[in-house]
Amino acid sequence: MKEEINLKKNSFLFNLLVLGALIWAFFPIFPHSDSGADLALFSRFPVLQEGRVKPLDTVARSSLLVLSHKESVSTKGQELPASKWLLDLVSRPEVADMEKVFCIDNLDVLGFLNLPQTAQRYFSFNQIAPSWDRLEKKANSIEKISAKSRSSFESALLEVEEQVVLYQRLKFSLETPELPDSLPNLLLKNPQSIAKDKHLQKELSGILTRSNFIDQSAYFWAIPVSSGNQYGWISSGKAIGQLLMQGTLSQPLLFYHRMEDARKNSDPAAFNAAANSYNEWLQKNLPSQWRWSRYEEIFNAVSPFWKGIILYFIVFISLALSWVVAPERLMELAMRLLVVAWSVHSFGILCRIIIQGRPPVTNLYSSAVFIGWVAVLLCWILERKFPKGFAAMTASIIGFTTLIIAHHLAMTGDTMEMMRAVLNSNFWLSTHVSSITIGYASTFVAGTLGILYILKGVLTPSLDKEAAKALVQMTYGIICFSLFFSFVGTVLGGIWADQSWGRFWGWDPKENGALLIVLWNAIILHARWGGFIRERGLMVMAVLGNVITSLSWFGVNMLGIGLHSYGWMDKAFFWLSIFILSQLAIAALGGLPLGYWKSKLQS
Amino acid sequence: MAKIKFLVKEIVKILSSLELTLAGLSALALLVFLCTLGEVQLGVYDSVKIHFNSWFLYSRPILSGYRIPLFPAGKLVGIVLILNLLFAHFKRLTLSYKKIGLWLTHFGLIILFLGQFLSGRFARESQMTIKENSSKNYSEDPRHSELDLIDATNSKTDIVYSIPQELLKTGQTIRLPHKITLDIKHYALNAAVDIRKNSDAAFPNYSLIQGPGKNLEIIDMPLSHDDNQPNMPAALVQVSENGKILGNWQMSEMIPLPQRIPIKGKEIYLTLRPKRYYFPFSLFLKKFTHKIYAGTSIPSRFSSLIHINAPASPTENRNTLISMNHPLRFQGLTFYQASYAQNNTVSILQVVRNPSWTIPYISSFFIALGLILHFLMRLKQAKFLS
Repeated sequence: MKEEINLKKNSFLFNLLVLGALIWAFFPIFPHSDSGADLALFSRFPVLQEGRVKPLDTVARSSLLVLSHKESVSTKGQELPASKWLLDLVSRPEVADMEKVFCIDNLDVLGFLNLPQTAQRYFSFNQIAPSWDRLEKKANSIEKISAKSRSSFESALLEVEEQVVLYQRLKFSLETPELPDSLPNLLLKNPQSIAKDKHLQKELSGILTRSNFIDQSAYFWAIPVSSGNQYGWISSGKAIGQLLMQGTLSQPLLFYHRMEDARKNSDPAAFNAAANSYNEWLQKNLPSQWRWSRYEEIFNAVSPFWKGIILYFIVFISLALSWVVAPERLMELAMRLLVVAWSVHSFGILCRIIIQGRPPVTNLYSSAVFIGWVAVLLCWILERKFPKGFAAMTASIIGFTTLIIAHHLAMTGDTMEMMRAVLNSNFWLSTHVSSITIGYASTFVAGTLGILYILKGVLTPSLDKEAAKALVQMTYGIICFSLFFSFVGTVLGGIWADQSWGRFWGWDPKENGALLIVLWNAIILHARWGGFIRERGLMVMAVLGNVITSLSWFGVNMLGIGLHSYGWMDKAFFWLSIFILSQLAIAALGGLPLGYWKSKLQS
Repeated sequence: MAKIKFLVKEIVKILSSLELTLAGLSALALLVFLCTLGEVQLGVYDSVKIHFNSWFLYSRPILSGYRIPLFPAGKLVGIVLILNLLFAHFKRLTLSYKKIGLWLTHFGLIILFLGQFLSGRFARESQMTIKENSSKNYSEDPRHSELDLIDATNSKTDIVYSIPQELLKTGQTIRLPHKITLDIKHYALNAAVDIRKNSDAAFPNYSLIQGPGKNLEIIDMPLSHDDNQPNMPAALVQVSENGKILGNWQMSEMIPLPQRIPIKGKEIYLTLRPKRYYFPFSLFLKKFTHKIYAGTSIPSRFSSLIHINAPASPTENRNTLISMNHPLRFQGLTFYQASYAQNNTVSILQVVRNPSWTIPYISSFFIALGLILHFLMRLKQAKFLS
């Protein structure tokens, strides 16, 4: 009786906790206003970049992630939101150039740039600028070396050069040069007078050269122009050129010009006024782009995958604790938090599907996010059938790890890129790519269950026969599931290849990787049916399935490019090797004779 | 007699055993892994040839060029697995309602294997390069070349005598109609062509060279395994008519135009070029389109607007649009949008003839259906037991 009352009380507290977590998970955090200037408004203005219309917020976040490997940087103990950084970069470059946003951790590169080789890894543009000429020259010579044969110093140096180029392109993307005050009037009313004024002409030709340069180097196109009955996009440089050459003044250019002027003069009221006028103009003229931009800004502000990482981690900790103290209550809490984590994870995927108009998996980044999502869903179903906490533990481990991997993959730029012609087919993306990814996810689930079985069995006395049986049954079922989806996914890939290249099977490394997963699962099942392996063998082979899946998912991407490619691939190769070694070690541990296991599983 | 019976029994037992299945599957997995690694150095074509289109993986040549078979390769493993599957079904697995999923899956696998075998045998891949506002009635195989003697005496139709690459070997003599004899003085599978630096004395055959190759020199190169850098064959051929030597000609795919052979009263040309497949129809490229996403260089769509011109069956003449993921299937051939060149004015189509292209579709259906049935029935069984 007493127990029941306790549980009820706690259940109220738990509900409160879960509700709190739910609210926290979905709560969007928009940028604060900066000394009166409405940053949130500025950050939702749509621009065209890499072929996609997106809010400035996304451009700012993904660029900052490329430069500093973080979505926001803290300088002098203060948080520097991405949108504030971008606003300063375009309007007050002298301020932005002092912000330490470049993350450089290769010691040789630091030496090359004459920067201190201390624990401090963040540097400002002003610190790099003196070495720019040398950096550019060196980078040009490195670009001639094939990616395969670059040393790690060379690829790191190239990465820094690309970061600086990105930084400068961002800086120019919204540049609106100071025009002579009388110019618009002269252009509109009395163009002939310009031809007479030699001084004004010289000034104008200077601006024209500059605007051409801005047009060439713009990282994003910020100015909407009407063409027919809809709007297209041009760079601010092109808009200035049109003003000078044809006398057409673009309203958005004027708004941006006013915003930057106000920011330069530290006049937040004028900034907000200009921003509000532009916002109204957008709502009137580009209502749908404005709305989509707003949605994407909310998605960014919720940061669902970041929240997911934290929640999956809490679930893991609660489950681990539940094996020591208060098993039932902590398990209950973990299960509910798992549902919260999965909901916010699903919300993130749904947002991406809607914003991009594409099925969930379009690139390596989204495959990582989707693998986690599928794995957690599968584990949740398993946990309902075998409520022992193993599947929930697996869910938290895979959910956490895949989202961390995704976070690191995002460091190459915007993750919602446009699909190249051959991939430009929603039908095949949703059938083939999704099935393959479900196959990956399920092999990882089976492998992680195998790890739990081995670690718990060898290192602790807590794996009893009943628990072992549950783990084996789950793993077996998941392997069957995985065989089906890997096979169907591989075949659909073959059919897609037949549709686009005229061959069903081409022995492409990625195809081979998928085939290996199918073969491995088939080998496990046949070995089990033939009685060549028993429970333990099944679990050990499932762990080795992790190795094969990770090779197929990541390893083959490294084959073509070689081991010395871009910085993050170097790191990815390092972590992949660590992962594979750890899996082999665990499998070897599982191979220990049962006599050495702490849990007694022998009959 | 009893001994033979015993032996047969043993062989059948091995062939139908699950151990053999496991060995076969493991060997296959290992081959896939090795083949993938091999692709980095050798390219896909050669790696697949070594690992799958042969019976054994061999060691490097040792003592007088002999190679030792080290491991069964794709052909052997494939055949053993198919035999194993067939024997297992006749010997071990009973035909029962409960096993219907397995039967379907394995039946599908056998068709899939056979289909891949057939397409390996009969599928033919080639490329068709068409310039805008022009038409073509043949495709070319970039991996094989042929030596063509063209008789253009008749102004209406050319007669082409093609000598396939397999016959082109240094020292080979080829007799053709019109009493023309070709002596292959030199043939290289991959060679560069450069302005000749050596004097005639260095190589006697040079003194007789005629035509545009007169001042050029063929430099043998090692075979290329890079899929992006195809091999460029070259040949030095002596032509005689009626036993009388007319001269030597140098040929390479880098000298694209056919070279005239001076024979009285006839218009004869000689050329070395990629192997051609002629069709009874031609494709006219009206327009090639290369669309990109605004503000990027990322292609969103490639397409070729084609007019089919089939004199033999004029009812089939029509316009059609070939784009990525939307090929044209016509008279047993399939045309895919593969690439483009020359500033978007040339479209490159992949032309595939694969009579067995439907087999993977059918077999995959059986396999997927079989797997679903089998796993669902097992799940039901497990539920029933618990």
